[in-house]
Amino acid sequence: MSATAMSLRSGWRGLAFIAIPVTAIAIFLFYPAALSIIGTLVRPAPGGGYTFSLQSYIFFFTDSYSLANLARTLWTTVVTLVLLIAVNLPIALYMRFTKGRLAAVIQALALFPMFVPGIIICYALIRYMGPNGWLQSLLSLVGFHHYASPHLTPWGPVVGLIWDGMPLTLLILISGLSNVSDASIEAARDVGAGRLRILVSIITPEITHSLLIVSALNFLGIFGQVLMPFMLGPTNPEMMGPFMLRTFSSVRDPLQASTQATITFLICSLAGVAYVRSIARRQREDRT
Amino acid sequence: MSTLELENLGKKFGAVVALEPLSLRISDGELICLLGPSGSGKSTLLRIIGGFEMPTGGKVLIDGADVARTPPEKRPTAMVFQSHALWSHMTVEGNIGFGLKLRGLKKAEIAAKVDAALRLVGLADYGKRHPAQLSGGQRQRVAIARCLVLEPKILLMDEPFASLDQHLRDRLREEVRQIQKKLGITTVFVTHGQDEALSIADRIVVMSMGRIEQVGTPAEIYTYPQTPFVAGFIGDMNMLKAVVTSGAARVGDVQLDAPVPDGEALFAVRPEDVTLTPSLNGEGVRVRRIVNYGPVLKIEAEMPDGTLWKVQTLKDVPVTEGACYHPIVSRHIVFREDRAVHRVDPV
Repeated sequence: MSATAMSLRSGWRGLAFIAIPVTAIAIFLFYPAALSIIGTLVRPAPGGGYTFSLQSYIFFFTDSYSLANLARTLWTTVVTLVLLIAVNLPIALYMRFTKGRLAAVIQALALFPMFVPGIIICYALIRYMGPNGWLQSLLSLVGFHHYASPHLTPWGPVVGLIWDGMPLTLLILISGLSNVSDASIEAARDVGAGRLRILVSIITPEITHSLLIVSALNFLGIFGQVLMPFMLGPTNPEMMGPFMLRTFSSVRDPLQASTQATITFLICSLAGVAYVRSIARRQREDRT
Repeated sequence: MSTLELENLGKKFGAVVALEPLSLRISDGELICLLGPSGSGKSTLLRIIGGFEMPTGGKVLIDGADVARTPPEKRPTAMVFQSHALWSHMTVEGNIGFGLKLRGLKKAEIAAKVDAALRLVGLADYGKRHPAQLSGGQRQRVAIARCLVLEPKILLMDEPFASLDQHLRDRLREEVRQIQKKLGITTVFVTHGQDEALSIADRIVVMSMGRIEQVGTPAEIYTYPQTPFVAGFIGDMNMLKAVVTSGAARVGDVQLDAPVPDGEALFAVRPEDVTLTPSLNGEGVRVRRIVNYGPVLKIEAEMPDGTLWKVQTLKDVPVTEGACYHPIVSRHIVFREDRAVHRVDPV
């Protein structure tokens, strides 16, 4: 058998191997998603037939409540993302450059939320930081009586989302930092760089890919969140997740819910594109 | 113009002694090789000199000033790492100029110094490239340029060519030696390759088990090893145990002079110090294997009691596998209690 024929045969085998999952994704994911998106743009005409319409989008972008919800979602996403990196980067740095029992304990604590279901985290946080919760009681014990609970304020979902996103963020950052060799840090010290300079000029640029991946994945996860903002956040304005849910199930307006979902999808796609580009660039660099 | 002195320098990792207290003086412009097997303490010693490890005790004096507790960023030393340790997100120019930037030099000054360093290592046109676009040898040259551009008092090199192929290693070694001589920079070079140490060093420090076995010029180390470890570690050596009686010992039918008190001793004989003469009566050693190394032949010969002799002769000396020969030894060293006590040189 010629090499070309063998290559063709193995090519068909490969396609057959992925045919079932790809078909399932196409039927159960892409097709209904495409129907929903098309359904927001192509509407039944009053006299029969269909017509192209941007009416639902015009409504969304002229409705102050919808815009406030979008702004709240963006605010929560950006603030949570910044805090996630701010909290996890020092922990990842500590764990990368410190060996010993304390580092292992910190790692276990930081990864613990990964094994706790989101709903449990929500209830735990409500019991802990909510009005008359443990935190307030503990603060009262030490004489602090002006505690304002973040529960049902914009900071409520931020706290919950940080808890929820911590393990993934930490794992990716540790993985990125493991690629920064001890020798490259020592070489920087050798030419005269102090700790801050090493962090800014050597470590941070070396983990740009990891930071980009962390940002993209968390952006996708946070922007579309339903549970945390529903359980811990305010109802007005609210994040896009609960907003969509309410529009669909309580207001019973599937067209507007689909429009909100499409807008959410388009904004999340930007993060998706950044993620895919980062992966592709990394593969190109690895090849060189 | 700098000297490096180590005074009672020692290092322990917990209960493990990595480096027994040692003292050493390295003269201005000298290239000294720390040579030893893995775990001998050579890299630990280099890292202490560079400031990456704190010594348990002792002093590191550079031009008389003790820097043993000074962090690496404040020492007048620069280290070339085995893994190049280039910063992949920076260009070659960025890598070399980083240290100068930290010293607050102006852009034009940095550019001029970087350019000069690149010319010195033969990479004048490679400044805009990234490390990923360079070969292993080019990366190591950049790492060397990154050190030299800072004009350190002491240059430290930690097995810099270990990851390169033999041909490139030989070439770079020569280039480094030329540059080192040209700049007159005091250099400490760590290697576990004896060829590398013998070919590049002004002096070699042979280390084993965290202590110095011998310090000397390559010729001294090769010709007059002071301990059995050095004798066995540097080059090929026949290490033969024999009993000395009345100033001589016999190994098979070979008599070796040893004007030392009677008793057991260890004799070290270089393969090139052994000549084989044909044995007419079948006594002596039988040639088991001959390997042709081009200009020389390396021969393994066996005595009737199984003792192996390594012999090296010029290629035009007629030797046949399976034939018997008498070994004639022109130079040997006698060791007792792990120290050389006598040596016999050719007349």
